[in-house]
Amino acid sequence: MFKTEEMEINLGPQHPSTHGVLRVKLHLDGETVTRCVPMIGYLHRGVEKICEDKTFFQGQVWTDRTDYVAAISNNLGWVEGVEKLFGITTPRRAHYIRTMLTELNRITSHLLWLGTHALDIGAMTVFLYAFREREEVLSIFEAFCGARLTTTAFRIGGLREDIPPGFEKQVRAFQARFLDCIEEYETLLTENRIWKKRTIGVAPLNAEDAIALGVTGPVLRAAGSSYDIRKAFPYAAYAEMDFDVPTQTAGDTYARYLVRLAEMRQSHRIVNQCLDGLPEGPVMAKLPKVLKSEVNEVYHAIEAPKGELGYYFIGEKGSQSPYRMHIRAPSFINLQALPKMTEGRLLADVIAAIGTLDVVLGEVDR
Amino acid sequence: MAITKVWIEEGCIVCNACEAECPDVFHVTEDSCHIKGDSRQDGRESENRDEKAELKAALQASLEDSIIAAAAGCPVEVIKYDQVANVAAPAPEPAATIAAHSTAIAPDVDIENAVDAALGTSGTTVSVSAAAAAAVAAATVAAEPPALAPTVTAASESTVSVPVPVLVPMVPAATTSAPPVAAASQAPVETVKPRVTKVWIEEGCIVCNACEADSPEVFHVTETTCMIKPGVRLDGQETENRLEKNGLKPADGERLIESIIAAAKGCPVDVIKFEVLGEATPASLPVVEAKPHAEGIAAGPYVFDYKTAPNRQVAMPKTVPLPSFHTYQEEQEAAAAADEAKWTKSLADFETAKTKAAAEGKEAPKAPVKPVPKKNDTDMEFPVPGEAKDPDLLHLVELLDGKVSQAFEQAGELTLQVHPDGLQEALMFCKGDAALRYEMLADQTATHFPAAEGFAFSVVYHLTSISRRKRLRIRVLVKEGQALDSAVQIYPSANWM
Repeated sequence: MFKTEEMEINLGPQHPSTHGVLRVKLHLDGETVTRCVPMIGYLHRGVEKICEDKTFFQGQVWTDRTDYVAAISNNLGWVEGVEKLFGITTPRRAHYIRTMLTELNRITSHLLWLGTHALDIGAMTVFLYAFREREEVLSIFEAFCGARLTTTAFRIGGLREDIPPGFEKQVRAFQARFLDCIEEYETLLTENRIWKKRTIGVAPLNAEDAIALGVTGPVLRAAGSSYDIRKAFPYAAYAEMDFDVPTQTAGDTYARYLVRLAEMRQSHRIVNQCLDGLPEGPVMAKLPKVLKSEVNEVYHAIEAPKGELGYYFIGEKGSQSPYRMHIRAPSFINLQALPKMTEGRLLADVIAAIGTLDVVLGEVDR
Repeated sequence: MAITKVWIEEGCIVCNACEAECPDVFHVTEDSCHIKGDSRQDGRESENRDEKAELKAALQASLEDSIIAAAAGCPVEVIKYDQVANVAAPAPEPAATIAAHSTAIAPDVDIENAVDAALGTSGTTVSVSAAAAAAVAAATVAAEPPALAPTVTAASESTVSVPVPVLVPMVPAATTSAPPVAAASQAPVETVKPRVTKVWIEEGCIVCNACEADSPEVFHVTETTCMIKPGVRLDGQETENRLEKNGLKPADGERLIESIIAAAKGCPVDVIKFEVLGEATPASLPVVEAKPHAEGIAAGPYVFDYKTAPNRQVAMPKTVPLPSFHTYQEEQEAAAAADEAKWTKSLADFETAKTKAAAEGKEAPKAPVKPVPKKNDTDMEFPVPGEAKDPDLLHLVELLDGKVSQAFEQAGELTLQVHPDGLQEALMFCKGDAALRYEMLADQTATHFPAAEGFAFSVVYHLTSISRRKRLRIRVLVKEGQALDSAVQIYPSANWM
């Protein structure tokens, strides 16, 4: 009787549930999404280009600002990439401390995801709980390097300084109560009927599509693949750690929630092992005062909280800065799967899908 | 084909859709839809359901499309019409349709070609809707039937092209029915000077004043639209001339042809349409300068000359740090040869110094000592490129047979450099070969080497085999402006990378 037409609306760029300045162009048939086009680039700063004019030491500062909720993971990717480029052997103690801090960082990243994702879907309380614990970990970072978010925690070749006095006690205090905290989140959500209704079967992505689209991290593991770079290509001290790779098979929002919660438990386990088995020795390798590169090309990837975080360097002979630096940002590549996850589904599920992908726009746009 | 009558059956829901499609015919009132008096021969405005008055003859063909569209768009389907094959003045519709479509493909107009092509069929009536080559082809095809009255407008509203005149070679019997082609071709076409016979404004004028600046004698831009001035019109009215299509005074049409064409080309929304009578020689029509991007498309890929760019601000790199086993080996050999030469020279120097000292009876100089390499007391040992030993690399070199320029290992990473034309094959093998199984394209990026000779970019693909826990880098060197085959068909993740 009446004329019907497809409607095109913008979600974002200023929308609280897009977790930054992400704009999603949606074609809607009623409430159903027929086409979804993520529009990115609002936060582009040209980090890769800037780093071509920074020395290898200065460039690390910029990596704090790509995925700003997991700065330590970015730092680790950078320093290990540069170490691989130069062929630097880092002391074992430094590896342990790096591993510990990176796992604590994974916990903060997942906590931020948990709080905001639950908030997007409609569960307010979890946000307050998650940020309470996140704050505690951030003060651990502050004790270690003086910064809570933009850490620049490591140095090429190791660490600037060993862990400060009282640090171990602080970490152990957090470790002692964190498992109970995860229990608390689970009480609020895991068997919550509303939560299950809003997440089970929402924004599904199977493993085949995920691999084809380059999706990594918890999103891929929730679809059934056990690809985890910590196990597949061990770096830092992960080869010496005993931990499991949690997987689920459903590939939906609920499965990703379960995977991330289980990952926090595994991170907790790794941190304990790092504390218990912390080797004695120096934390910094012997290096020349000035790092001058030779011609080399490396791609070093680590398992960041969001997925595969890769740093690609080209070294120029005699140069103190990379000839080319490229970041393989997990958020960016994972966001590519958003149309696949949302097309043909409801508008409200787009919000859940963006939340469950756990994108940080600073890293998407760089 | 034409529509003689149109009327509204009972059941109109006053949705305004028809008026949006065809405002010249339909007028939606508060309770029904009326056929406008302006468009009807009896001049009354009503639903026309009982009387079925005919449309004005001039509108029957020209509004056909929009009436059909309105009827099709009517949600309750109450718009009815009588459609007849128009024997009096059948419009060469196919040409218009085809040409209108083709203009979307090639919006940049080459007037000369169009005119040449049109004149090649001198003697028949040719309607050219746009000057893209395809359009000309379409128009030529459409010109095969006998000469017809030029009733086709230049382009539909949706086209983005510059409107180009409907060319009508001067044929005495052009407006009557079907003169033989042979008779038309005998007409003295060369004596006729081209002139604009009609000019009118389609809907959509944005009141930009551009046409008035180009041709102030013809166009007058009011507050809402653009008018054709009474001074140049045969009927002396000042309107948009859209429906009536009144003619221009012949003298003015001849005198003002260039300015009218310029105004039509300059119209940002392309609503100025016109018809030209007579053989328009290419010289009499202004030549449209090809736009830069059109040139680029014709000349091949866009190439920017970095080395001679006059105002570049960035200091360009002077070296080409492309890791390569060959280059490394050559450098090592050269360095070893230089060391050897230095050593031989110092030995020879020592010998001459010794004989000289013996002759002069002085003490013999110290024998030279071979320099030992500096000891590395740091924890840093730079990884050097080495020969390809990994089975994956060897397997790929074998599979790609001749398309691999080099394969080497450095810092524990495998690099396979392939020729650009072997890239897709290499990626397909990596993904599909049972012994390789690189399922995921983890990353893809490129590096610019402005100082390089023979290539400008290196493009790298980082592949990951999840099942075999291996990584592989495929590298391609491409020249400035050279395009690589897309990897998206093989690895969909390449889409965003």
